[in-house]
Amino acid sequence: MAAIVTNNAPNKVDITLNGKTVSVVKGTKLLKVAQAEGVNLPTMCAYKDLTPNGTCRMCICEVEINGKKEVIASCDFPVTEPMVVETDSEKVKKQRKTLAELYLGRWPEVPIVKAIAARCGVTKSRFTSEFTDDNKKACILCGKCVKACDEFIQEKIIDFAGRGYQRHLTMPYGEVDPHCIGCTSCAFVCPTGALQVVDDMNHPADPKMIRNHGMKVNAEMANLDKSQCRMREVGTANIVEVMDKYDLLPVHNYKFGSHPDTYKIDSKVLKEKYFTQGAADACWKGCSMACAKAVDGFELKTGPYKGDKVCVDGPEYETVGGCSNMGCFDPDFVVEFNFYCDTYGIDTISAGTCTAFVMEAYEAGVIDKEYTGGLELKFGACNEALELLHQMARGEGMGVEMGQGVRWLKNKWSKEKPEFAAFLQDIGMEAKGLEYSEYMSKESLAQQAGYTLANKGPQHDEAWLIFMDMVNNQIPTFEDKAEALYYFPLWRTWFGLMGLCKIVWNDVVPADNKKHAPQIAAKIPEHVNNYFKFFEGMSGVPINEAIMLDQSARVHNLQRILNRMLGFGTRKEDLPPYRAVGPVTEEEYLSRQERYEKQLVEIIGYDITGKTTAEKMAVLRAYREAQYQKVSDVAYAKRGWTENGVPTIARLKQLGIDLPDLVKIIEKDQV
Amino acid sequence: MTHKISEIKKAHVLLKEFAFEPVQLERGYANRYLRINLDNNEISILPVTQQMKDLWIGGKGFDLWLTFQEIKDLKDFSWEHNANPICFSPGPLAGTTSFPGSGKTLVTTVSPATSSIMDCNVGGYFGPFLKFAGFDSLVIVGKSAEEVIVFIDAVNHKITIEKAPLESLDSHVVAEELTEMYADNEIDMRNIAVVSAGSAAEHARMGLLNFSFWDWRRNVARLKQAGRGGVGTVFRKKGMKALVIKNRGITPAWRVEENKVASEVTPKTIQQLTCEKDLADLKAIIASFGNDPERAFEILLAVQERFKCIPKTAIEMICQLTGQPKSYLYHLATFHDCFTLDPEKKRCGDADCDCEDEDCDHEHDEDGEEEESDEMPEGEIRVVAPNPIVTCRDNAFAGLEKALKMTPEAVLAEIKASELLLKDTTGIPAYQKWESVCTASTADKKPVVVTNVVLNGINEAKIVEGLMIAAYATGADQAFILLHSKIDLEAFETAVATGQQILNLKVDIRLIGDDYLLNKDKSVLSALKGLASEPYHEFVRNTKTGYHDRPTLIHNNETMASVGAAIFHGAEWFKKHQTKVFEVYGDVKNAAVVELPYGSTIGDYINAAGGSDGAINAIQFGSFGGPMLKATRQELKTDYTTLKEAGIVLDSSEIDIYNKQTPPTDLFAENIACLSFDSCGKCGSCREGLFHASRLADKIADGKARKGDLEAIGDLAECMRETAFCQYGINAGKSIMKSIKEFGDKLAKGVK
Repeated sequence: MAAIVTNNAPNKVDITLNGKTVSVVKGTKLLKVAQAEGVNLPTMCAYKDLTPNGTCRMCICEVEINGKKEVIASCDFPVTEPMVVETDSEKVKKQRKTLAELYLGRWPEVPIVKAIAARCGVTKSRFTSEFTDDNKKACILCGKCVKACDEFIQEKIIDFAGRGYQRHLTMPYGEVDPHCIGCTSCAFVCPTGALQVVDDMNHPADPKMIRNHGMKVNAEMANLDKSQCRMREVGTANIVEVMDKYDLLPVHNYKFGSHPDTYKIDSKVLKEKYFTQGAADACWKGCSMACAKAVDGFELKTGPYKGDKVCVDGPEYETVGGCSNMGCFDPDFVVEFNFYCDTYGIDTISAGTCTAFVMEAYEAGVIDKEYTGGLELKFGACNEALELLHQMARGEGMGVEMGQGVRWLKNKWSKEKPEFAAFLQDIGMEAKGLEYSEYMSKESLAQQAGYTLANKGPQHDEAWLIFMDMVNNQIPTFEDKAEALYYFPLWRTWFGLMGLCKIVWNDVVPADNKKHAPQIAAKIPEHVNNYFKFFEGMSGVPINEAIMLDQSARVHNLQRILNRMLGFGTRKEDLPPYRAVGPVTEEEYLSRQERYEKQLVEIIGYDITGKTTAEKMAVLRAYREAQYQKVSDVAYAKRGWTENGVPTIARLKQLGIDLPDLVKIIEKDQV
Repeated sequence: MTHKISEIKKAHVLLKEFAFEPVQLERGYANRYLRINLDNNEISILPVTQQMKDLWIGGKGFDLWLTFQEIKDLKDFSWEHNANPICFSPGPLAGTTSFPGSGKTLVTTVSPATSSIMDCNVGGYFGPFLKFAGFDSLVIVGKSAEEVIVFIDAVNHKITIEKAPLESLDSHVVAEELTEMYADNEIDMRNIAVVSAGSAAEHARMGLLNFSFWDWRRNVARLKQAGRGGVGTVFRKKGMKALVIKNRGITPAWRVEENKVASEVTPKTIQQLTCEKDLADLKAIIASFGNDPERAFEILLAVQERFKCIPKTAIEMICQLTGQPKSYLYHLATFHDCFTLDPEKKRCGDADCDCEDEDCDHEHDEDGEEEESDEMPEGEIRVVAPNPIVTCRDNAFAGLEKALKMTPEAVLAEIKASELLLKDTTGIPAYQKWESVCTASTADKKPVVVTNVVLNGINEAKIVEGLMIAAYATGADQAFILLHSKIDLEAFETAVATGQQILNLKVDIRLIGDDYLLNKDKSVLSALKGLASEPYHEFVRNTKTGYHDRPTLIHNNETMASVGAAIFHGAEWFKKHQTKVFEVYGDVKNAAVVELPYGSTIGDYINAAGGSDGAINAIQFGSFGGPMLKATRQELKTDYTTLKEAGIVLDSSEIDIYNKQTPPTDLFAENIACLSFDSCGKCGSCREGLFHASRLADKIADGKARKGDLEAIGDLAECMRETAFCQYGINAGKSIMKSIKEFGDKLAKGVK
């Protein structure tokens, strides 16, 4: 038996609540302590997901600290030291009664006021006036709506106006502010119904059902984001340092997963020196995650807009990852690269990955300075990377070649220098012709397959499994990974059918999400339920996991069939370059030698004594490539596809999409 | 080369105009889609079938299905064909604002990178606006011979294809050009969304599409990207420069239940400024305060002085230029009595002037007739001080010079030893606050020192000296002097300039309003942030987490002005010579600011003001926030210990003498009326309690009170004392209870 711990943890304190000893985490508000202990204090202005208003004073308690007694409002009162708390002392009851009389005198018909007054033993008030308002839905000045506007959605559209007895809730001048986004947070938290706003643009079947679930997410954003992903502070860039820590941040064309200089471009730097803080940066109205961060007043150092001070959207994680991939760890460069890619209409991911590929080819001697037109395109060449973009915009030079992408360059150089063909094939980080997005997938079989089995090419939005595989360790076994490769691409496709953003689903999770088994936790069941209710609220049709999976599978298979129609969509298009799977060069192998040899010995059972690096690398490669094939087999089977990765007609029938036009395309591929 | 918007627009040539009927969305669908063929500028509206919805739902599902319809019968199709469709679909749940993250557009095309299907999801306003315009999807096929813009106008229900030669290709420029061009006015810019590529997209296979949304706070078109696989390349290949949509505005039908007070406060007429000179003046006023949101009160005051009211345009422009939310500004403008929103009720803007006259020149102030009795004329403050510390005019900055020769630790030790007391409600040793500030100070969060100028007649130089010593001792790098009126502004500027020659410290002088509530530190902190002066955090200590979460030392001007003497003369001397200042007004022979040794009696102060004018009926101890005391209380010492024992709260350092001409019932009613008028209204006990206490006290004064009314006032006062949010309400409760105790029998006479 373990030793009995008698002392409280240093962050806890014992208090006496109505005679009972309670151990409390220091700083917890007294009202929450009482509620947790089942003591139900009256309140009109406290809301569980908002910071305290302290306006109604009904939740008062009498506390005794160091022998001194005091009446305090418990909602905002932090428990930091030992104290004796009486929640219903005579003194407290008397003052509550007076308060209840005041409120009942002003708003005699509002149900919540009547209920609280009755609880305090008040049914009649001495305090009435010409301002007594017998509207059942009168505003009781609690302030929840003002807090919700600020804390749920960071907008600050509504506030009180007037002073003293003239205090009232309004938008400026009593008019609807055209900047109100209609998120309905205010109406949701209103205890009386004084505020009315309905999100009706889509004319949903049940707007309240949508709102009630949407607001759950808003409450989580307000309370949990700051301790989880900090999307409101730094957007998706929050994972830069996480990826580096877990050896998943692409560095030098995906050779490595971390770099000592990452701290120069991580989210701390972006927050402190670049991103404007506290802004309601939603890319669509009503998004409480507000991750569309921006750098304001950035002075450009190069190109046609040199010297201009501009607002830059981002950098997001993928852009930072593209820069680390090029070995460029200068934050000013990251922002400038981000800006020019955007305004020139160039994808930061493809540009980052392709430039990294060009840099490795340059360092390996595939191309030289003469070929690049004088640009010394080594890893870390920030100015040269920008110059490639400027050339692309002008339609000249090496920039235009780079703009054709990794596959085009790889094919061209393989023809020009056949001795490099195999090497270029291995290090050219594209699949299906699309450049990889910015995750180093060597150690995550799930992500490797997530990337290359994706219909459009290696972009993480169809299967962003790297985090649950490598960081959260939620899909440890081969079976888990295979299952994930079935469920998540379909679940993520569903967002694309609906017009929804996926990161709102999983970048902030309920505080108790860990109560689920890892494989279930990865789905975030409460959030999935919110979305099902969202769909039902819009369409009027209830939905469950099976229906959702079918909805997505129809479209997922349609995309596969269209690819097939265009001459692709088979197993050979689903193959990754080896750089995505394992170490291509000795340099890479040696940099993570311990890890690879552990795998050789413990998992593959290969005796490494006396073996050359090349021999070890060959065995590792064979194993990893076989693993990839194996996981593809399982994934195809689960998806109802042939061994060659083509949907079966049986699967189309099952999904109700065995339309003649579609069947015609895949008929020849049925085995 | 950049062109003016008007020139760019003029260069447009209309190639096609197409009118359409609006539709009502039903459960997330418009049930039709839009197809534009740039080969022949053919625009068509086609139905979304039930089968499409059942099988493919929408978004990417619709995109792919429509793509399939476009290309399934084409021979030797490749991405480079003119027929390659770009499809845009928002999805049935998109455009929702009550569930976060519901604004994505799904974009597909046959990709130049993969020669296969590419799909992207993108934010920005285009997709939701497309659906609100009545289209579940947009399919663009064909290739235009000229550089064109496709404009979907959901306000006038038409679609145009316009030849557009002069617009920039680069997105950060073209998105703003087109937003400005197609918006009716500034507020309408949020209703425009632009889709564009960029000058490199046509030279690469990795061209993307930028989807804009107008960021009204930053005043820029923000860009979100449909990034992958070359959708921008295909867009440019079609000769598309941009795709623009104009939405009819989605301001929701927001309403709050009507009530009497709102209709009293909300202006009946709203002033808008349109004349260019007025707008320029407005801009200059805001700029003169550095576009600083924290100086919102001063900006509004200058606006009031210039326009004799607060025009709506001013609130909007201050919001735009300072970033202070409009709702906060409106709160502030309706909070202080010196502002008028209704142009019909113009005021001169002087905080001390009650006129409603546009042409007011404050003559009533100059001839001194209007405010003859209880307050001294401005600029003629009589000071009575036998051994002055804070009102003396000499030795300014000698204490600071001495302090700078000491270590900060030694200064702190001296202040501790001097037993300098806070000359506010609390009367606790000032050192407690200094120590608390020093403990909370970190490299990131250095302390701030603030002095709140609440008392008249204190030497400005002494105040600045104290402020600077406090900053030196605590390591503060920022100081504020908060003024309640402009009268002493110049004197403070001079004093600060002199002090800064000795110590290089950032000192800002701010006007925060002539407001009794602003005696309280928590209200001061709100005012300092440019907010209405109501308290925000109940249990957060300013000394730990104050201005911008920095440790903040707030002293009133009397306390602050004492600091120099404590250092200059040393702790031992100071302990014996500490003073207390009271402003003595009312029925006295010579109203004066009186500084006497700490612990002098109330009578001493009255005598220093020449004694009472007639027999004293009541002593109002501490303006209207303090209690009414009987004449016999003249013998009471005014040290904090004695006051506390006598159950008297010192709410402000003012003594008003009333002779027999003022019945206590009137004074009682007047006090509570003033308290009620100045309450911020945040917490129920103070707001509702003072309102009803005032009503009942009026009844007593009018002799119309009923049995139980005085008890009711007592109940309300007790409730405030126990439950009010801040010191204002707590002190009000205490003082009313004390007044009842002192004058209960007389007040009871007003009860029938």
